Formats: sequence, C-alpha cells, structure tokens
Amino acid sequence: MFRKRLVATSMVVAIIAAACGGSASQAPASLAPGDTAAPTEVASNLADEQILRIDIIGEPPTLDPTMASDSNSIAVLNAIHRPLMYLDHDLQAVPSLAESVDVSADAQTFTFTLRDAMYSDGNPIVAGDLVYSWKRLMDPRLAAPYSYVLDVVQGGPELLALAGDAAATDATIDAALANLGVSAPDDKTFIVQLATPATFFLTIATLWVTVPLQKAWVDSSGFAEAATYVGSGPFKLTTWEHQSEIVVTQNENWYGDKPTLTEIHMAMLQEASAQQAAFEAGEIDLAIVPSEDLARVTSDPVLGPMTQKVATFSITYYNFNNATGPTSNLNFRIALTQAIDKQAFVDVLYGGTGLVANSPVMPGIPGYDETINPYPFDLASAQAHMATALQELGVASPADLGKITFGFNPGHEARVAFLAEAWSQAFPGMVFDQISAEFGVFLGVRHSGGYTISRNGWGADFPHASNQLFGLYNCGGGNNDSIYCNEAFDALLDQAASEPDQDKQVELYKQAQQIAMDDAATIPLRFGASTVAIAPYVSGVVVSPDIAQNVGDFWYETIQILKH
Amino acid sequence: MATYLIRRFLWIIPVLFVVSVITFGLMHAVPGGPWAREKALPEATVARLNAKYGLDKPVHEQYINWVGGIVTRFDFGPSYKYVERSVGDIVADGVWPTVQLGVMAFLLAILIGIPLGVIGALGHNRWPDYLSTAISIVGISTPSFVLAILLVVVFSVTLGWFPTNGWKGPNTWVLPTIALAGFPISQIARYTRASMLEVTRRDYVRTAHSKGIRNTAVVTRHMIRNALIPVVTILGPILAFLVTGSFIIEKIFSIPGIGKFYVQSIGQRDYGLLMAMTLIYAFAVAFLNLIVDILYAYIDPRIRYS
Amino acid sequence: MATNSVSRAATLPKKAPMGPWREAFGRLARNRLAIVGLGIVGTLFVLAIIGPILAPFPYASQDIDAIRANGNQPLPVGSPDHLLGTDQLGRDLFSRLLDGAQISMTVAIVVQLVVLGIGVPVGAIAGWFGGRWDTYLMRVIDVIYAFPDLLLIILLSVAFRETFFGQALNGLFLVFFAIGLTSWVTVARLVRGQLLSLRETEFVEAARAIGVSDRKIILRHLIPNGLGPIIVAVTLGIPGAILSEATLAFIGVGIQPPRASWGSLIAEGQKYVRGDSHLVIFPAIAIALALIGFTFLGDGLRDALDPKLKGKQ
Repeated sequence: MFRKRLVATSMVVAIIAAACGGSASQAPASLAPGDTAAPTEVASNLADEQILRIDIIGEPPTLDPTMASDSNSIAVLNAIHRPLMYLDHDLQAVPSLAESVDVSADAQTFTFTLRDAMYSDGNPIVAGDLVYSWKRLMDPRLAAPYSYVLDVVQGGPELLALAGDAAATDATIDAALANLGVSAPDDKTFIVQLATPATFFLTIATLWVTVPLQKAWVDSSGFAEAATYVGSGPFKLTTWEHQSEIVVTQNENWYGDKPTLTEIHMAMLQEASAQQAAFEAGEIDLAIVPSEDLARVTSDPVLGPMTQKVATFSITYYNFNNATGPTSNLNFRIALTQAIDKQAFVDVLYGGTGLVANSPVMPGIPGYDETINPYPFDLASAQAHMATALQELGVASPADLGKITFGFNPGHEARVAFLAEAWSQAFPGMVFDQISAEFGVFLGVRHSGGYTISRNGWGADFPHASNQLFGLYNCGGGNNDSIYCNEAFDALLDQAASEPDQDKQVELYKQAQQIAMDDAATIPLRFGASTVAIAPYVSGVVVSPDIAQNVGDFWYETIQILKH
Repeated sequence: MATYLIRRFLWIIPVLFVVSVITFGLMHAVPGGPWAREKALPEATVARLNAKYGLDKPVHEQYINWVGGIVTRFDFGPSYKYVERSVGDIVADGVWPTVQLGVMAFLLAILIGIPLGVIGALGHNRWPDYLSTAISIVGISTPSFVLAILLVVVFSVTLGWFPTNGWKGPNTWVLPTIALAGFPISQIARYTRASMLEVTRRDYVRTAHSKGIRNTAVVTRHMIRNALIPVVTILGPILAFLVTGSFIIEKIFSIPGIGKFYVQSIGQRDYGLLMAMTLIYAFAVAFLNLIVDILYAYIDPRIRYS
Repeated sequence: MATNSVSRAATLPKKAPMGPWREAFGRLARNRLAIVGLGIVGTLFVLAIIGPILAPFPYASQDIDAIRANGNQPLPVGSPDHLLGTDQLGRDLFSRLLDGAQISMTVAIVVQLVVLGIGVPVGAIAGWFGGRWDTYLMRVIDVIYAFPDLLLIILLSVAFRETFFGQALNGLFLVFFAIGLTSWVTVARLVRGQLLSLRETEFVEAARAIGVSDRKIILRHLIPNGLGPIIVAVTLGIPGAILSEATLAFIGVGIQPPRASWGSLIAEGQKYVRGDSHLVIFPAIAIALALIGFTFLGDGLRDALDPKLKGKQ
C-alpha cells in the first residue's frame, strides 16, 4: 500500500483524464466502464416510492470518514459525504465540492475553490474545515489507517514517521501538524502544497478520508451515530440500527441536483448466499451472484436477464518465495508458471467470470499491457524448464525437493487444490503441503516468507499503476510477500515516478512489469469480475469497474426506481 | 440451602477469574493482531495503534488494566474493529436478540423434544419409536447451517412466507428459531427416550402398575418425573449452547446479536470483544449449571444440598 | 420391591465374575436392531480401512476437462464415471466419501474414547464418594465447563497450528485434543448425576449393608444401571464429534486439504446446496448412516447390559 511519489510537472487534470479515458478501449467491450444499466427514465414511469434496497455486507466498523478503511463503511460514506473531487462515470476525477481547481505550473500547489455548499445541518462548508479534517487524518495520535494517502503532502512523511515514535510528545506532534502543507486563506480557498509533484493527487482528493468535517461536530460525543450525524453528500444518515440496517434519506441541504431516490435502505447481510436469497425473495434490489450459484441463476429464465458481468479493479495471484526454497530458482518459477492453464482456472473456479491475468496492472488502468505474457501455458516447455531447474538445484527429481509448503487461508481450498494438482501432474513426484491457516496467522507467516508458495490478491485503492506495483514488487515493499527484489525494476519505478510525460510514464510502468514477469516473480492468475443481478425496475445504475461494495454505489444519485 | 446457594453463586467469581486468565493468555499467544490486513498497514501506523490501545505493554499488565477497568468503571474497553464503539455498547445492543433467539429455540426444543422422546419410549420398538428415532436422526445429522439454508430456500424464496433475514418482529423469528432448535430437539428426544426406557424397568414403576394405578398417572407422576432427572443435566449446557452458540444461525439470518462475535472476534483479534464473549459464556454456563443443580434437588427429593 | 432388590444384590457376588457381561453379549446377539446397528458400524469401519482400495479414483484426483465440458459445473449424480457425481474440481464424490469415512470414524472414536476415559472415572468418583471429592471435582468441572469450548478450540489450534503439536496426524491431533478436552465434562456430570441418584436406591444400600465392596457395587450395579444415558451420550457424541469437526472445518481448523472428512465435505458443499445439492446430501446421508448404526448398537447395548431385562427379548 505504500506508493512511491509520482512526479509530473504539468497538466495533471488532463493526465488523469487521459489515464481513465484509455480504460474503455483497453477493457473488453463486455466489461466497459461508464455504461448505465438503463437509460434515465421520464418521471411518468417512476414508481411512487423511490426507495432503493441494497446490502452493504455487514456492519460498517465506523462512519467517521477519517477512520474508515473498509468497503462496508465506504459504501455508506459515498452516499453521505462528498469530497473536493469525485470520480465521474468514466472514473475521471472531476471537481465536486470544489467548483474549480487550479494546478500550479510545477504541479506542486493545488488551489481548490469551494462552491457555496452546506452540511446536512445547514452550516456552510468552509475551507478551514478541510484544513481541520486533513490534519486530523495525519494526526499520529489518531493513527488513521488511510493516513498514508497524504504522504505526498508537504510535512506528510514527517507526520507518518512520528506515528511510529511512541515517545513523541504532544508539542512535537502539534508542531509537525502545523507544518502540514494545507491552508485556507479564506473560507472559499483551500490550498495544498505537495512535497513532490504527484500525477494522481486529484484522484487522492476523491477519497472518503479527505471530506470536510466540522471540528465542533467531531468533538461532540458520539458524533458518528445517526442521532448526531452531519454529512455533506446527496443523502444524510437517518437511522443506524447497529448490526441490522442503515437508512439514508435525501439531504435537503445538498448543493447538487436532488436525487430521484428519497431513501436507501442498507441491509447488513453477512453471507453471499444470504444476499442472493434476499434478492430472489425480492427483499433487496442489487446482488452479487455467488460463483456457486452462477449456472443456476444465469440459466434461470427470470433471473438470468437481470444479471451482467462487471469487472472489479482486483487481481488474484500467488506468491513464489523468491528468497528461499526451490522457488528462488528462476527456471523453477518459470516451470510452475507455464504448467498452469489459467483459463481453466478462471472457468472452473469462478464459473468463467473474470479475465486471465498475466501481469499485475488491471485492464482499465493505464499501464495494463496484454502483450506482457512471457511464459504462456505450455506443458512441454514447463517440463524442460523444470529439468533445468532441478539440475541447478542439484536434485534428481521433484520428489527430492520434499513437501513444498503452500499456504492459504480457509475459503481458498479449491483454488489451491487446483494449482497443486496441476503442478503434481506436470511434474511427477512433486508433493505439496497444503497449509490452511487461520487468516491472521496466515498473513504473518506469508509476510515473513514462511511459505514457498502462498495465496495473494490485491484490489486497487485508486486506478493508477503505481498503486498496483509499488509496495508489491519493489525490494522490501510493505506488501512484497514474494520477497522479490530486482534493482532494474526498482529503478524503472523510480524513473516512472519522476517522469512528467504521461505516455512515457505508462511505458515505464509497462517495462517494469515486463521485468517482474520475466523474472516470474509471482504468478498472476485472474483479473476480478463479478456477476451482478439488478432488479429490472432499478434504472440508472452506473456499471463501473471500481465498485466498492455494490455495483453503482459511487453514484446512488443517478438511480431511479421504475413502476413495478 | 440458602448458604449453599450463596456459596455456589460466589464460586462463579473464581471460575470467571480462572477462565479469563487462561483465555487472555492464550489469546495473546495467538500470532497476528487486530491490525493485520490483507493489505498491510504501514509499520509505523501499527506501532502507533498498539501504543494507543496499550497493546505494547506486557500481557500481565494488560490483564490487570482490563480487570481494573471492569471492576472500577464497569468498562470492558474499546473494540478494535468497531473503533467508535465500546465493547459494553456492542454487547448491550446485541445481547437481547441473542438471548431471545436462544430461549425461543430452547423452549421449542423442550416442547417438541421431550414429548418426542416420551412417545418413542412408550411405543418402544413399535412405529412411534421408529418415527421418533427417525426424526431425531435426521435432526442430528443435518448441520444447522444446512437446515437454515433449506428453510430459507423453501419458506422465504419459494413460498415467500417469511423474510430471508433480519430480526424485526415475529415473522422474522420463526426460521432462525427452527433452524437453531433442530439439533437440540433431537438431542433432548434421544435423552428423554433413553431415560424413559430406563425408568420403565424400575421397580417402583412395576409396583405402581401392579397396584393398578392408571397408566397415564404412572407415566406422568412417576416415569416422566424420574426420567427427566438425567435430561435436566443436559438442559443447562443446551441452553448455554443455544444462547452463546448461535453464531452460524446469526450469520446466515443476519441477526443483530452477539453470537457472531464469538468467532468473528477471534479472527479479528478484537481482544476486548473476545474477552467479553468469554465472560458472558462462562457466566451463562456457570449460572445455568447452578440452576440445574437446584432443579435436581427439586425433582429428585433424594438429593439434598447442605 | 425392596425385597426383590436385596435378594438380587445378595445373589450377585456368588456368580462368576464375568457372568453379567457374558449374559449381556448373549442378549445383544438376540436383538435384531442391535445386530443391524453392529452391521452398519462394522461396515463403516471396514470401509474406513479398505476404502482407498475400493475407491474408483484417488481422493484428490481432478477432472477439469469434464467440468469445463459441463458448463463449469460439478458433474451430477449418475455421471458415467462418477456414480455420486463430482465436486467443482471434478473430484469423485464417492471416492472422497470413502476417504472421509476414515477421517470421520477416527475423529468419532478417538474423541469418544477420550471423553469416556476421563469423563466416566471422574464422574464416578465424584458421584460415588461424594463429599470433598465431589466438591473439588465439580469445581474443576465448573471451570472447564465454563470455558467457551469453541473459542478454546480455535485459540488452541490457531496458537499451536504451526508447531509439531498442531501438525501431528495431519492436523487431527489438535481436533481430538480440543474436542475431547471440553466434552468429557458432559459425560462426567451425567455419570455423577446417575450415581448420585442410584447410590441412594435400596438395592445399593442393601448391597452395602451386606458388605459388598465399593468397587464391586460400582462395577456390578451402578455402571450397568446408569449405562443407558451414558451410552446415549456416547452414541450422540459420535455424530456430535463428526459435526464439531465439520464446524471446525468450516472455520479452517482440522483436517488439512485436499483430504476431507464428511463434515468438511458438508461444510464445503453447503454453498452448492441450491444448484448441486448432491454435494451436501451424500455426506449428510453418510453421517446419518453412522448415526443410525451407532444408535441401534447403543440401544442394543443398553438393553443388553440392563440387569432387569434379564431373560427378556
């Protein structure tokens, strides 16, 4: 999750636009973002009751925007807050609470001009509230999980470092906070000073952690509960029955166009099967179809037509331990990679939903390159590489390697069994010790390199190649659980970070991926996708790959309920 | 009797102490922590969070602080998962749905299980016995999560009689209660049947029969009363299991109870919530066993406590 | 009735030591249902041992091509090569059930042995001797009872998973240990309860009065008389242990994949209950069969061991 500072000198808005504009052409047509499920209907066809019923898959751990870090919470926060910038239906960052944004020539000073807007309690939204909420996010005493997204801001790295220093006094922390590069010369102007230019900074300003907050509200006790909640989105939090249901209703003080929906009822179902059952029983209007139910649902004459596939910005991949064990041998990793029929993996384990992955950056994000595939499925070549690898490792047969540890957490048995069996078939004598460990234990062992092969996955925080590579493949990266290290790769990431030209930068990211994949650092398997079911009377759902919890939950305000 | 009861009740305190010390120690011996995520947090953030919640202190010190909070302020500490809420709030919100579900399932299990067992025993080796045995075998072999899904598919999705989820009134209570009661119904029926068969052969029953007492009177006054003694032994644990062990049912029906925290808090290393669940469980079992012992003395006059 | 008891109690010591037990076997052999139960249990044990030889496929053998040809769905019951169908990876369900028999029967038996081995002596001592013994043992039992067993099991298995202790017997050792550790108290309390009420009965008082030793009274009178509920507890405990193992498998504790117990087959199969219900139904039938077998056998044993049924049936 650590990102390298990415550098650009100009045209940040245009770059992001170009970045996301490229997505539609790169993603397969069936998964293209920006489509809406149905055209906007005329008022005469609308149902009298404009209530959308969805499932947010469990109790949000918190609705304090600063502290939230999970998709349950974000699904709600998207409805009840609105940051300076927001993603449009093509996933471009466009001004939202900000009326306009001015980027300095060196792309290090961002000046946001706020529109006339109010919170749900009627108080005006002023630039000082942003200074407060951004400093709050960076306050080491709060230790907000997503504070690292502001590490590009001047003074940000110092504050993040202070977080690890338990001995830091309040005075030191307050002084460091005073140095954070955010200021509000007047109520309408919010200025951010970056430590280094960053191409993706406007995308950061779309994140839920950057919304304005009133200090008086935050300081009141129990502020993040429904009774006292104050937001700034198209909807406001009306009821929050813990572990049961959240209801948001239209926010009469919302500065934008009034949404058609009057209420959204958010259930907290905890099982995929429960969500599907609730959808089929007509209790909720949107559902993600569990892969076990795919064949039944898609072939059903009633349910089938309600479904469509939506790509998610996520990847399933498996780590090879690059530091120790047989997987530290390049030919061994190549052999393992070439022995897997990835299309069969996607077909059998995900009912064919999703795309075969051969590199880390997902389709739809600039830097995705379908030509990066150095080791396609080829059993003969795999066996040849294995023969070389065994020679290099000084053993006669795969059996002499002993049991190869293969770690995962419960829920991944079938995928692991698929891979282990494919490898055992390709390389007779190879035996795996399939270790199903409790999630928390698994994460620790995986991170410390305790498994030879282990399960992994990544979902994009924001649609930029840096987020899918930095931290995951660079030497010593916080999420580099393959313990992969290649200085040429690191050099290319550094170079990309300081490359002002968008096309060149994307090219550098592609070259970096080529190196990591030539090294067979990991084995990418599948780019994520879901089959979603949308009730036929729900219109205007924006189908975009970047779903938080449900399809369309970034843009509840476009949804309408038709007569039914 | 009164002294005995007070002594037994006070004994719950050392039980809770021992249970909490062992659980607390084991819990901290488990690798991982509340901040472990698939996407790792920066190490500095983890260190700060540990310091903020005192998780960087030695385990015994953490235990003393935890006990101190409970004893002095009745404060069970913060939740590491639901960061804005205290463990006390979460438990207070969720305890009633869980207790209600457990007690309803318990009553259902008794109301069906005991008659089922009695009928089976009275019709020993004839069709009522086979029917009773068949029902309880199906009940025991079907895991609650399978029963729950089947109930939802049939009665919610297909027939539309009951909602698939929630806890908002009697029509939402029906399916979870049945799903949870399935196993204990069978369990109680089996025990009752066995125990009834046992007393059928007791001399006092034969004597009663030979004295010409009406059959129903023998059954109700002598047999059932005596047969229930061993059954009562297992009612305590069954109720405790129902009140605290409903986590799978709560998950499938999305019931806003505390049962799911029983497993979830371990996975999330939500230490405060985990300890609260431990204490609740331990107290419930200890207390219910005490009740069982009192019931024992009431049903079986041969037992006297002093 | 008092006379009756005294006379029977008084005559017992004169018999050959193994007398009542031998008679019990005779009675068991005449009980048809018990023989059916014995047959089922015996068959399951044989299958558990020779299952791998009978299995048409190795338990981990996959048939990916067949699944893809079938629209990425598990093969249904009655497929040419797969009588009971396959799972999502094309693994033959029948073969996996046979392999699962081995695991599930082992879990069931070992756990019950642990439970009986600890529960009966502790309960008997507490119930028979009473007084201090009873108080101390029951307080220990209180503590163990009050332990949230599932929580303890998960914590133990998570804490020790990476050690030798956790890896022993392919992860099953921990399951035996954890389930057995917490479930013996039920049997102990049951035994104690039985003895508490039995030791006050006339025939025991009579036996004591004529100087029969405690050991003999417990072995000859109390255990046979109190055996009914204990046997039921054990026969119920067997599917209980199989299901506990399933619950544990559900949360990732226990047998390591790709092997599967009946319980973990159900836990895995429940996701497919609406589309491919055979993945739940057959493991459930297997558990039900085991339960029927143990129940009939248990009932027969209880009847056979009941001295008052002498000469009946």
